[in-house]
Parts: sequence; C-alpha cells; structure tokens
Amino acid sequence: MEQVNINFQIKGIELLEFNMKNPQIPLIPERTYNFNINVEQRINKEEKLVIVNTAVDLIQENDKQCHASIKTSCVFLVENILDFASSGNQQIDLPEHFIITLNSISLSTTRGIMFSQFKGTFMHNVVLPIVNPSTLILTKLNTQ
Amino acid sequence: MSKKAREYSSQILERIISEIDPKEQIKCDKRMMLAIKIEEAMIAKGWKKGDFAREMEKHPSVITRWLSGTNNFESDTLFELEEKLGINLINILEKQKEQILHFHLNLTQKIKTDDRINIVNEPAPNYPNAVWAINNQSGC
Repeated sequence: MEQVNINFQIKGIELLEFNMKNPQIPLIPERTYNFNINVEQRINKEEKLVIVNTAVDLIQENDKQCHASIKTSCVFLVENILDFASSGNQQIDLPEHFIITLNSISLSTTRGIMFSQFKGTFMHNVVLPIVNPSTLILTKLNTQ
Repeated sequence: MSKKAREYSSQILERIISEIDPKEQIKCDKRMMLAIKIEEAMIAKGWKKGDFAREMEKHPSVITRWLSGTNNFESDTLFELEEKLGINLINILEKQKEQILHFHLNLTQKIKTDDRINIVNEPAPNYPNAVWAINNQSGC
C-alpha cells in the first residue's frame, strides 16, 4: 500500500447544540439507548479545512423519547489538502483511511463533551459506546 | 376620521402593472439594490453627496443619478466605486463550492444507571477514624 503523508492539526472544537429532556415517567435503572449518530464532513479547500460536525441523538428504547441530543464540531487544518485535488481541481478526494481517522477523532471528542455535559444529571452513566469508525456508512456526497 | 389607508384598486393601474416586462422588472430591482448598496456604503463612510462627488471627481448631479437607481453603470465606474467605498459590487470570483460527506450509524447499548443506588447501600465509611486523623494533624 502506498504511503501518503498528510499534515494536519486540530484547529478548534465547538459545542454547537446540546439538549436534554428529563422524561415524564420514572426512569428504570437499566435502560437501553439507541445512539443515532450522524457525521458530516465539510471540506473547504480554499481555507484548507475539514470541518467535522457530529450529531448524536439518544433515544430510549422503552419510551421512544429523545432524552438528549448533542452536536459538536471539530475543525481540522489539512496543510497539504490540495495534494488530493482531482485532475479538474474541482473536488478533493481524501484517502479513505484519513476520512475514517477524522471521524474517529471527532467521535471521541464528542464522547468526552457528552460526558462533561451529562455529569451530575440522570444521564450521568450514559457514555457513547466505542464505535468502529469504519462502520459509519457514507450516505450522501454532495457539494453546495 | 379613520387613519387607516384606503385600499385602492384601479383597472388602469392594474393594466400598467401587468404590462411591465418581468425581465425589465428584475433589471430595475437590481439597479435599485445597487443604488441602495452604494448609498449605504457612502453613509457608512460618513460622506454626504457632496463629499462623495469630490472623492469620485464627479458633479453632484451624477451622484444623485447614481443613487436614484436608474443609472446604467459602466464596469470601470463600478470598479472605481468598489475601491473608493471599500465594498464588493461585482462578484467576479465565484465562491468555491463546499464539498460535504454525510455518514450515519445507529447503535444500541444497554446502560446500567443503578450505580448510584449501590453507593447508597454501601456500608457507612468510618468517620470517627477520619476525624481523629484530622485532629492529630499539626497546625499550619
């Protein structure tokens, strides 16, 4: 496999949205949550930035209510992003393993932010499980 | 006497409005917007029409025409206006499109949240020992 050097650094972390709703019915001690994870990578080649927005909705299986939702943003500066420009220079084709790495970092960062936001609440012990970032399914690819 | 504006309708007025070419209307709207943008930039600079005319080395009547929204500007005039007013009037370089990738994953996990209950049921800590330890510390 050809080795590709990618020079990148994290430029910023932001908590974009956070919502928590205390359920009306008493909570059971052992709860099952559906973690609905959506990750969006926005590539801005002019600024050499890849902005990864991660949104997680936590839906409790019993009452089907969204107990919490969070949206975070991790901004990465990819110094040699133009090395991955397609022949027409219109599109950036980042290596798959790099896309997975960025998703992985963003998910871990979101896990930490979630823990920090949930502490001392009824969601205290709810931790975003370890996710194999390569299992995230690319659902849409578009430009705007 | 009522101050409410009376709704006015006239067949002549409706006929005139219906005769306006939509393409001409769009051009007219854009000229008006251009004039508004120039006037706002002039005000932001703290200039009156006279100051603006001096800056542009034009007669004040030219400025009045520009701000009326009826003038058909030459590109050189627009470039000069951009420079003097420090604004962008012509977008030559189209903004690069942003590329977006969307990923999705849904997973389920059972979470035990009864750790707090276990803590409550744990035997009480040995407080007397702790108090004794504190009392035997030397002052500082």
